[in-house]
Amino acid sequence: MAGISLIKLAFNSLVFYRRAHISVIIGTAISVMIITGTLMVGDSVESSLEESVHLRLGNTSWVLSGNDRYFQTDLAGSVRRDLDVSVCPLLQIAGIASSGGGALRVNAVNVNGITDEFKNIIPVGKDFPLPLENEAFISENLADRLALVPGDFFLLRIDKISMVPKNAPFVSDEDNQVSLRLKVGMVLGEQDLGRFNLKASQTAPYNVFVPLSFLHQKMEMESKINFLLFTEEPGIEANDLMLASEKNWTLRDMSLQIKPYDQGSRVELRSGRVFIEPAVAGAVEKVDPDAEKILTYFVNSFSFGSHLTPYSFISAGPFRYEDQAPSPGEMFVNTWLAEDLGARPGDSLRLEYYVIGPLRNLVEKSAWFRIKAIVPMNGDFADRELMPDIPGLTNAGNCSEWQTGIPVDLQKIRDKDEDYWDEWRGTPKAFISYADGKALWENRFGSATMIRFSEDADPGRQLTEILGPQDFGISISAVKEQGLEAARGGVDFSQLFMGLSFFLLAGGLTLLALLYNLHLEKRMGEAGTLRALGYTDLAVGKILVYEGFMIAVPGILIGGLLAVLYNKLVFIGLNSVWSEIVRTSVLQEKIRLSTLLTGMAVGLLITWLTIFLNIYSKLRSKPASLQRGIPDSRRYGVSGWFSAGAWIALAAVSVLLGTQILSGGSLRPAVFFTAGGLLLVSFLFFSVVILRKHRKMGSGKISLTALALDNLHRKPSRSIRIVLLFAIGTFVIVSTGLNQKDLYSGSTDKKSGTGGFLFYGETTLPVLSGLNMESSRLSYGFESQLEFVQMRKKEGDDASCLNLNRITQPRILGFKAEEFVGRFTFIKLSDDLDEDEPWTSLQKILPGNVIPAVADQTVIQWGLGLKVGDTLTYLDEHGETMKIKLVGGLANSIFQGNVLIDESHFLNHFPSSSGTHVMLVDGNFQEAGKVASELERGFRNHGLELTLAAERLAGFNEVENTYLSIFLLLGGLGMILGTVGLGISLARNMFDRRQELGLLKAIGFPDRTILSLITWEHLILLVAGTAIGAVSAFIAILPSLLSAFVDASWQTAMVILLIILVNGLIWILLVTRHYLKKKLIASLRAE
Amino acid sequence: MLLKLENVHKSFFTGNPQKKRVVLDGIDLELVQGETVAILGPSGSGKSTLLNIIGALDRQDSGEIFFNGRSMAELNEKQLTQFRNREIGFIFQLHHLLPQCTVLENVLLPAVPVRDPGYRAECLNRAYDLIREVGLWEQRDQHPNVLSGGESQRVAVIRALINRPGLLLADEPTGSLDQKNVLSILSLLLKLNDEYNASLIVVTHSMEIASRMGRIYELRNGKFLNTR
Repeated sequence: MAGISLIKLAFNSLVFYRRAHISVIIGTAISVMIITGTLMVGDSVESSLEESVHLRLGNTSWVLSGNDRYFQTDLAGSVRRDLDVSVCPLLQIAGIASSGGGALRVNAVNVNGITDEFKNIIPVGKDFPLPLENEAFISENLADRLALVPGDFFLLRIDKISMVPKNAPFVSDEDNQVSLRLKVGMVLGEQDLGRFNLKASQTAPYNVFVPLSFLHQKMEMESKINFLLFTEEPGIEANDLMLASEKNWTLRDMSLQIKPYDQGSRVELRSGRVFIEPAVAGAVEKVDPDAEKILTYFVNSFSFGSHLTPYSFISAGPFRYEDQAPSPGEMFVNTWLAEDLGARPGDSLRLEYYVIGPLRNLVEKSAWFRIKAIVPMNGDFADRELMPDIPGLTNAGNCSEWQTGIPVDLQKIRDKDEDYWDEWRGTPKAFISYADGKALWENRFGSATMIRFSEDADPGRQLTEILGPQDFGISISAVKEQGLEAARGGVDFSQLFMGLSFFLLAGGLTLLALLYNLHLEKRMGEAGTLRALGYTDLAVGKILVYEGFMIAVPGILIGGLLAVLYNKLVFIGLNSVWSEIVRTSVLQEKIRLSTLLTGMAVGLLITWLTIFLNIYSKLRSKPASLQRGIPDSRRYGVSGWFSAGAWIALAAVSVLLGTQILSGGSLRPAVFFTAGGLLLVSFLFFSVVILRKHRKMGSGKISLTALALDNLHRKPSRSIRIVLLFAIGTFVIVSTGLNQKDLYSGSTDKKSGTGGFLFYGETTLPVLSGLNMESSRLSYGFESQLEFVQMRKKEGDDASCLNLNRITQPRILGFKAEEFVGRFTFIKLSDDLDEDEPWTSLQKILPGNVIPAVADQTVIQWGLGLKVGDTLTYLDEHGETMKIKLVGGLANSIFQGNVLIDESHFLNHFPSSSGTHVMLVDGNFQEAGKVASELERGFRNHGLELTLAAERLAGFNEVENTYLSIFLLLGGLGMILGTVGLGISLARNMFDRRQELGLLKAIGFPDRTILSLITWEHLILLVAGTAIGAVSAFIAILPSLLSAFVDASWQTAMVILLIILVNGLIWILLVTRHYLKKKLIASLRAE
Repeated sequence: MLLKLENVHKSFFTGNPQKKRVVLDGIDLELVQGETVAILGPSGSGKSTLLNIIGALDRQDSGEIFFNGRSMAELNEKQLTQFRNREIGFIFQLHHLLPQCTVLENVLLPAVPVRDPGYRAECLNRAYDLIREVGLWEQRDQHPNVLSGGESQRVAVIRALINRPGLLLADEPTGSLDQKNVLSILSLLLKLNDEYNASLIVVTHSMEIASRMGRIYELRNGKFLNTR
């Protein structure tokens, strides 16, 4: 039909009401901008994190990780030959780099010993030569920190790696480090593996690359590595790599050695770790059930009466003399010792020895043995090989050169002792049964120093068939796949910024709804006419919906462009003022067409839905009502529902708060936040009821206030929307503004996140001894009275808010749980944790051999995506699965990113753990500067990174505060939209009422009176909305307001509220004054 | 019998839910095809309400309305809409032209819900005829904002006729017009009534208009008085 159809009608309206539609376009554009923009931010962060995985791993797809163990470099060649794959051996250790004569220093440097095969890891097209001897390639960030350019020299201090656990009995902690003077050969950018990192983190580590052989040479060690890197190969799976590694696994990879003895007729097994590990001992039992274990130990003295023989070895094993073996409590002594002590068979000797606890905690003990026989120094009794290979002892030229790891009083060593050492070295002077020896000296490293096989049936081959890498906690992981998964599953910035922009979105949509509603009100008569002319409500609805759709299109296009801008602005923020929450420079904007289209489609849908709901609510009236522009009276029935809803919400608030008060426990933030939210809903529903009820009854009074009140409910939906905008806006702003953490408040409190500790320190190289021991105080030169809590670490990924990746294996810290009693605050406890003694509960073991653990609640929830009660799984040093159950959640603490377990469990599963890397220092806060100097001086060679505990906590809180600031900023923008809504609504009211106002003027009302009438009307709405939001917000954040650790002040709250009110008032006055200047009386003539 | 009202009642809620204001209190009315009726009464007497109920823009509380012998109560919402479209032509005091549509488009508005293309073509021809007939041919492509009050009302009148309804309902059709235009519109209505044989019910305050109708009813206190 010529010229007319529903679409044509819609199009006509679109053109005719184009000015009115600008507001709808703005609302749509804002919605699309936020939805699409947040999706883009999420895309960009995810894609940046994925990119960072490629940057940090290069071509590495799988890694065979030693997990604190070292194995032979040859394994790489064997696997390569077997599978014809690219295998890159890597030795990665921690180091401390310095330049400028020590003025510039970087701790926790990754020192990577690489070979030619590392070229396979370097991304294609980025080929570069490998460093030469005495040369190092360093990462860009390290070059920046140390102010180095190629050709400069710097010092690198590293811990000499050793097969012997550093805290094993009698192993010296001296001469453990080596310093290298290296020339910078090349500075590696991020594209050149400068960010090389096997851990899932977007933060770049400090890297140093040196030739592997050079590293071995400088550390005076055989060819050991702790990683094999594999590249992606067609048809090769992780399982193939593991099988090949198992097949080529040798005794040397296990630091084991088989030597002939007994004129070569039999063989014996020795370990480079001094003690033979339980896993190996177990395998030996399977290979040869008759194999004999021998445990040789270093004792402080043998004494008989007034005679004393110092520092000797004693062996426990299947020793026989004249067909007799020592029974329990009996011993054989060699002739030298018998003579030295003047002892005879039947005499009882006292022997004194050290039992070495964790952190070289020495306890001197003694035992008595009766001499069963005096044995000649030949055969087994003259076997100097019985003494295990202990670095610092085995190779000592004389007794004064001993480095034993225990205090040796050289004064006690006599010439005859030196002579014995010269002639017999460490040949044991006494022999006891293995059972006695085991009972006295079994420790976490093992219960034998040697195992003798009953026959030479190639036990080495049999052992390698039984034992594989996995028995020592060595495993293969698909690092690239896991890294990409961690990147994809990490912090969802789409969701995050959607949440942060929620009020802006809500503000945009409410504004859209408000403006569209105003527009629709104007068009209701038209709808009524069409209905009167025989249009169904569906047909009228279609016209409006088509029109809405057509209006939305430019809004969507503009919104799409604004989304790009939003994404850009967010990234400018993330790379500058908000950098606290990402801590990386790798974030790059990424615009995917599919995301853009999805965001625009969702924006379109939401806009369309908003328009549709408005149209639907309007068109439900009868045609006659529509024409009059007055909704049907039946619609007021909904007030009953609102009233019921308001009372139900209020009842729920009462129940929640009542339960909390009656329970008498600590204030639970979740309960209060829910109560606050419900209170907001309840108040808003009540305001709906009041505004509508008032309209039905009429005020019945004639006064300025009564007129103002009457006017409020002339258009109740307009009034309600303004109250809604201000209530939600105030709620968001007050609750976030007042919830900001005070970065330093209460930091000396033991219940705070610092635990009351003065300093938090991490050393690059382990601290092997207990720092509270007097000997340590002296050796480290501490003058201040300091108390330490030391923590062991099992390397893992950082699960703190500083890591954007989704972490599955966070770092574990092991500590003595009793040292934390009365410190820190738990905010979530499971039934496995005793509420009164939560820390000591960590010492128990849970059913199923599960270890209880605690972590920061934020780590559990956000970093790990878990909840209290969930379990984490690790592979322990024995290659067994270790289950850790999160039994409690801590309030924000300095341990963010870590999982804490008791030291006893830690050592059970990681017995080789050498020393501690984390220390908490209790000291006088007034002397922080002096203490810091002492600590930094004392631990200079350990690479101590010392932070005030309060500062560390503040760093984490700052991240949270940054999130809150973003929320506040975007919430503030939302409030601006709310204010714009108020202004437009007010302008529209004034326009609608121009005749009424003209009449008031005509009958003699002065402008001032009219101004106060209009101001009062809107001020009531403004104050009501603000008050509803503020009261609800105060309830929601009451626990924070009462907390000493939150930077909340009533003054701040009042200032925020005042700004909201004054801002609203200014708009009211501006718009009203503008309208009062118009010729209102003229509008009467128009009537 | 085109239209028959039997004992029609209607009341409205006031601000107080306990009280209702009775607007129509047992109205009876009969109308045959081509007949013209005027309904007089003071403001608020319920004239427009009665017209809205007859035109199915509103529903009575009780009583029966028959159109061409069929009870309106039998019709569902969709049928009522169709009824309004095909059987009723509305003319309001304010012309209620859509400002976004041209004169021709406004006239054709009632034809849009009819899906039959043949019918629509017929309507287009009729619209041209009617526009010519009321002297608005030159303005057919103009928007209502350039028309005078009288011209706008003439458009509203021919819009009411485009579907050739059996009954025209005019709610104070000249209420907002000057004397010259009142006469012009009245003449037009009667002419069209004659030409199209459509019955006409006019609600008016004007005795002058009422006197030109076949019958006059006066509505007071919800009832018809002094019918002529």
